[in-house]
Amino acid sequence: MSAYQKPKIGVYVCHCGMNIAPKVDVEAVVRFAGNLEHVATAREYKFMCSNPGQELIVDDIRQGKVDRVVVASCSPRMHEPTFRKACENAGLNPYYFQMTNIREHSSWVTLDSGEATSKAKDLVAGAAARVAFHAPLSTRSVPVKKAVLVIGAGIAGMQAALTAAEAGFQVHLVEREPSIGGHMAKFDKTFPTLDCAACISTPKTVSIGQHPHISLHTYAEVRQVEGFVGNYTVTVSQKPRYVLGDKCTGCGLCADACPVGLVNDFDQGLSERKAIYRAFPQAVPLTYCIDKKDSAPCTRTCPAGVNVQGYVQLIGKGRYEKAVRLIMEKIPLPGVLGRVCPHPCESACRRREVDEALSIRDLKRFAADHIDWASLPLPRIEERSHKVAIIGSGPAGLTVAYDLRLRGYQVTVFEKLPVLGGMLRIGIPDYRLPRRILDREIDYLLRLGIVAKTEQAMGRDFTLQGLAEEGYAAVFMAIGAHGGLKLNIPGEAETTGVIDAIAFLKAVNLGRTEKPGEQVVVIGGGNVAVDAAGVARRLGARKVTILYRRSRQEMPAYEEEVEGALEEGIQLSCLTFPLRILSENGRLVGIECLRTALGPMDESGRRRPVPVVGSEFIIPCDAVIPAIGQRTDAPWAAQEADLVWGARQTLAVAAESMQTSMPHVFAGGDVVSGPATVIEAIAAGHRAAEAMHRYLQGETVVADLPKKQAVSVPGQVDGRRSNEDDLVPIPTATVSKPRAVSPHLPADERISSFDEISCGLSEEAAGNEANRCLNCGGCCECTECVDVCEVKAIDHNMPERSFQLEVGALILATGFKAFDPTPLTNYGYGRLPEVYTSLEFERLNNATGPTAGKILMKTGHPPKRVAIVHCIGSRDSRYRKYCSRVCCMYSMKFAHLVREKTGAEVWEYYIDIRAPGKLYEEFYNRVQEEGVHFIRGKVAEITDIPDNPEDRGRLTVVAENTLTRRTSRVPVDMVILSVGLEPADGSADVGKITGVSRDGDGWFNELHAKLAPVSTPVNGIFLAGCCQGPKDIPDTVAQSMAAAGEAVALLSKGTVKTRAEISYIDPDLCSGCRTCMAVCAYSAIRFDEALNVAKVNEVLCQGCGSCAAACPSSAAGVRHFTDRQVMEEIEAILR
Amino acid sequence: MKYGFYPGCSFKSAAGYQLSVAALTRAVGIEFVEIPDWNCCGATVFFSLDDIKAVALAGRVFALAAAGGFREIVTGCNACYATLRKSAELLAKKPDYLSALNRGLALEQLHLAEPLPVRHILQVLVDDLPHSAWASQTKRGFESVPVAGYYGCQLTRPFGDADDPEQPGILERFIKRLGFQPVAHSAKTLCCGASHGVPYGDECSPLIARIVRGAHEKGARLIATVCPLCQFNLDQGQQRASGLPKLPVLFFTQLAGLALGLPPEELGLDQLLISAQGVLRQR
Repeated sequence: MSAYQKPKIGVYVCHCGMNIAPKVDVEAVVRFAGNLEHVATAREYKFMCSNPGQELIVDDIRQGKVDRVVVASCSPRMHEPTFRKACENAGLNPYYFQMTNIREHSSWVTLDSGEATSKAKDLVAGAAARVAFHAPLSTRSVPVKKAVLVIGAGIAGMQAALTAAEAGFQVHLVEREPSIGGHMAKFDKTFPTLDCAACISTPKTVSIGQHPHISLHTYAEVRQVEGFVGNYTVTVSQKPRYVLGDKCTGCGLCADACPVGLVNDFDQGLSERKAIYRAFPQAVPLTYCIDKKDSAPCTRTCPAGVNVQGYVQLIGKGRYEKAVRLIMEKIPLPGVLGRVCPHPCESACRRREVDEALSIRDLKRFAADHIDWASLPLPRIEERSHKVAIIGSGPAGLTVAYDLRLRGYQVTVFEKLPVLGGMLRIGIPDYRLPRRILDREIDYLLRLGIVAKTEQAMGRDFTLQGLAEEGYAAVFMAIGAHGGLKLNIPGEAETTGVIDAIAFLKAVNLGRTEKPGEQVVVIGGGNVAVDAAGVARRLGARKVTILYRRSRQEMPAYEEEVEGALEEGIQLSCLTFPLRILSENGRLVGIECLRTALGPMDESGRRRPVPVVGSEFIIPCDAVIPAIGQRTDAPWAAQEADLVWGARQTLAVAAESMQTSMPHVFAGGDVVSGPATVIEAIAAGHRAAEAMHRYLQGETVVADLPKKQAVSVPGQVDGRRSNEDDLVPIPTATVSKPRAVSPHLPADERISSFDEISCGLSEEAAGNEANRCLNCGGCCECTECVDVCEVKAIDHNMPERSFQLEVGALILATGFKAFDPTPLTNYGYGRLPEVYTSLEFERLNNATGPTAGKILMKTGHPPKRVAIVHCIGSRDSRYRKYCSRVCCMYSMKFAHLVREKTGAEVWEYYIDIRAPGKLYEEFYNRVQEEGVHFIRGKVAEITDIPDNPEDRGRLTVVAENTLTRRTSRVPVDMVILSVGLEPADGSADVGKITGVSRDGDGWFNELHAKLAPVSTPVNGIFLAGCCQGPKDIPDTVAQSMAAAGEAVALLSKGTVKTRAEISYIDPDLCSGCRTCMAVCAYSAIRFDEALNVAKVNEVLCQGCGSCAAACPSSAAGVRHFTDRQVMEEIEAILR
Repeated sequence: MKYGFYPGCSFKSAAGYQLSVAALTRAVGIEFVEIPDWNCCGATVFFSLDDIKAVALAGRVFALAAAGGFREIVTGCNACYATLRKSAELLAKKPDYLSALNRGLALEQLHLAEPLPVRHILQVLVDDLPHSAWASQTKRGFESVPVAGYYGCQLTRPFGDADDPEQPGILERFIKRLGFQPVAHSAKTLCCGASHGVPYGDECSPLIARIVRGAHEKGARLIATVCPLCQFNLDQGQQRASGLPKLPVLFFTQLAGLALGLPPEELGLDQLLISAQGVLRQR
């Protein structure tokens, strides 16, 4: 107040008909009010909000009786604007008005009349005390952005968008699915008129796609909404569909070519679709979409990062050469790995959750063995001049050679032995890895232009210094671990007949054919030991025994190899420890051993063997082959003093780059890791090749190198585990099928030759095996679609996109989801094949559905007896208490369609029939007349155990018929569960983002149940369709038009008034600490650097008061909620 | 691991149940210690007449177990399981029941502070033992033997919390873990007639036929039960009736013993009325 002037307050107490008056003694309140300080007049009226009621106030103001107004009535939510308007009309500033709620806060919630009256008096006293200190406030007009955002493009969103667009406003329609139409696009007919859903909704989807004022954003979600009524900024993120909308013609060749079959969600899982798909032929937009999830666990697990899912799918399609090329993006030796890889991918295979892992390794071998290597085309290589030397031609060396050659480097491989392949050649017996396989794959590498120099030993034939002088700019050391470890037991050194396993295998692989002895003892439990034993047996040793100091469970050798050895008659002596070699005249005659027992765990996690005292025994033999480990043999080490060695005779390298102490020398494989697997050597090779490439290009060697994997697909380079939530769910209907097993030669044939044991999969077996793949990653990135797309519309590297929209109003139309009846186990959904949900049945009925609109059981026959069970999940205190409103009607629609299409007998199990709507009751009558049975009773159980033998294969529906008061047991062929409606997934997020609250069931709250059904408490945001509560199509369309009407009405005004109840900051008190800026959710406070004070932007401020609460110097406050006003009100109430 | 064990009145006389439980617990290294001086649980009879007396019977068992230092009670009978759990629920909910019980228990110098948790042997075997207790033993060629799990009516409802009341799966998971082939069927929790099986055999016949046919139709060649009365009713019920397929009805503990390679005579398989030999030999 300016100069102190005594306020003249008018208090107006409302009876609200019978809502306030009988409980609150209105007359007493008026008498009480009349005696309050500054109150000039106090009146009562039956309905203050009515015209005559408002007139009382207006007249008093106009006559100068009052200049402050208090109305004691209902909640200000509804009528505060009414009375402010009345004040304004009478010429009073509308903020000289205060409303107090004596209905919700008093009469409705107080049992005792005296107490209610007393409380009403207190509330009136508070309001009167407060209004005396009110100040006149004003609002400002700001222009609105003439565009509408509609979230959700089901029938509600489409209709709202079309109505607003027809009014001439720009509409942005955001839909999270790849195409629009929502649930209605899945339906066949609509009740009660039985219009075809497609016939009435496709014109709308088409108009949406073509309307000049509608921008459609599919596969997109709203992430953020900022601003205020008339001026919202909306952030939208759009998932990549990997197909360019402006190029795709919708021809469908890509889907024909795609090998990946996934569950078709649009058909509710009743059919399959491809990973590149379109929901249905008439979809808008018609652009295809690729369903990509996280990389499959097999791909993620592969140390070399091979796209496993991709090549498995290509094999399934018979595209063997492309499969091999895909494998060779990551490994140079597919046929080799197809035989000797320890296949960590198979351990990660999710098929294990159904039955067994895929035979991935066998599939890889199959592909490599079914192409013509001689004619395998060479990739185009862009030559570079740098020379690179690779020392050692094992898997690590060949990988680096391959990777760098593909990048155009001039690669020379130096090999000590006369043959290429390293340990692959001399360490692995022919019967596991035939040399022709190795030859054909190395030949291919040589065809790429890799130069190989054999019988070139480091230190003897060349040095690092010499290589540098010859112009080799970088060197990769992959000399492996070829030295066998000694047993260090008496007799080992001096006895002939002791030969270490690696030396033995090498000799045999290089041509040795004589057997090591008649009775051979191999010492060790690893794969090398088993290989040495197998080779000795094939060379004709009569008796071969493997000694191992722990038990069979602890053997590091692969179980299948041990199994194979036993089949070949090789003996296994576990828990046996060699003590000394026995000889007579320098000739080996036996080995003395000791029994062991397993003690506590050692640091490797295996149980430590403990000798059993006094258990010595002798195994007679004439050859002993120790196979207890290898190390690197580097007789030249002293010559190359600059090369630093690490523990256990391995080369020291930087973990990520594989760079040694000499900057141009890199190393990998067994020489770095110690004896390890082929695939690990290849993985190390990839890391080294990448680092060498960077080194040669003068870049930083270590920055951003792939850690464990090197995957070329975007977003997959971090080597992490697959995100389980972002993989294709394992279909519940997956049928268990045995894993393909590659047949083995019989054991007796095996030991007579070096022929390969494993015969490989047949073409049929490989195809079936590939089809067992669950396609965890969705799209397998085989790029078959790219090959067939004539208009080049496919872009597998499309990124997610984020953009902002400026709109004046929002319409939420996020719809519903159907209740999942799985928890109602007594109805057998998911277990009994002929139990369907209503949405599944809609698809079964639809011309574009899995049966082309024929109502068929999974057997392919039409049903003769059908039961429809109402109220599944609705009107059920365990799930949803509310009635879903549409189920009775659509259930009867189903009954009619079943009768019409199949002539089957139909039973409807209902609680009550709810048919309140135009022509609805008539439809109910019609369906009854069509001979449908109506049984009033909740179904207790649906079982596949028949009451009578003739009903075998049928389902029995058990219910109490509450009209006949008898148990009813009806055998039927098919059951439809009429599931209720629930808020759509993600509606909680939409609520949070937009600030629109939800009710206890999760539906969005309308502003007023009767009078503002499409408005929300958030100004400028409106509701359409089922997101506000279950409703049928006619109601949805009506509501959508209403919501669009509200939005258009708002935008048509051109301006909106800003709030008057906003923050202010007193510049005299502000210390410039900027605390308020940090707490402001609307970015409405800016800082005036010149004056060193914070200032409120009156357009952006929403009056939330956060700044006022946070301000340490009490400079910030909120108009209409000043400390004085609030304290006066409280004091008066407590007085 | 030691458990307080409540055998109930039919455990010792049930065909091979006691034998197989003894052999199995020895083999896997757990111990079921009989609660000393246990009494009848009251079955369903007392609850129909007098809650307090019914609760007193079970309550004394709880007090004895608590006095014996046990923290929970394990039983192998569905009726005992349900009765004990119902009593536990009432004692926890109604303080006057507990005080009435303790007045009676005082005569024996016993006291019950709160009822103990009650579990079924099946839950102990499935939940407390690692997968590996069975996994290393499961290559016995039983994968080709289809087994229907039969839970009876009281393990999962109304007082059980072992699994879904209508479509439980814990027994099937155990059967699979043992290396047998579990069969999905719809008769898992149907009533076997319970104690009416003896005096009203003819009336119970259709109930038993439903269960056996339900399992047989889905390919089962064996039925595995978790309750002495279920086992008895199904085993002898099939003998009485004509036209039934005659599926051997084993306790799940007998199945587990077979999976571990224990000799059939130690598991009491010879006590079954319908011999399982034929089915097991065919594998």
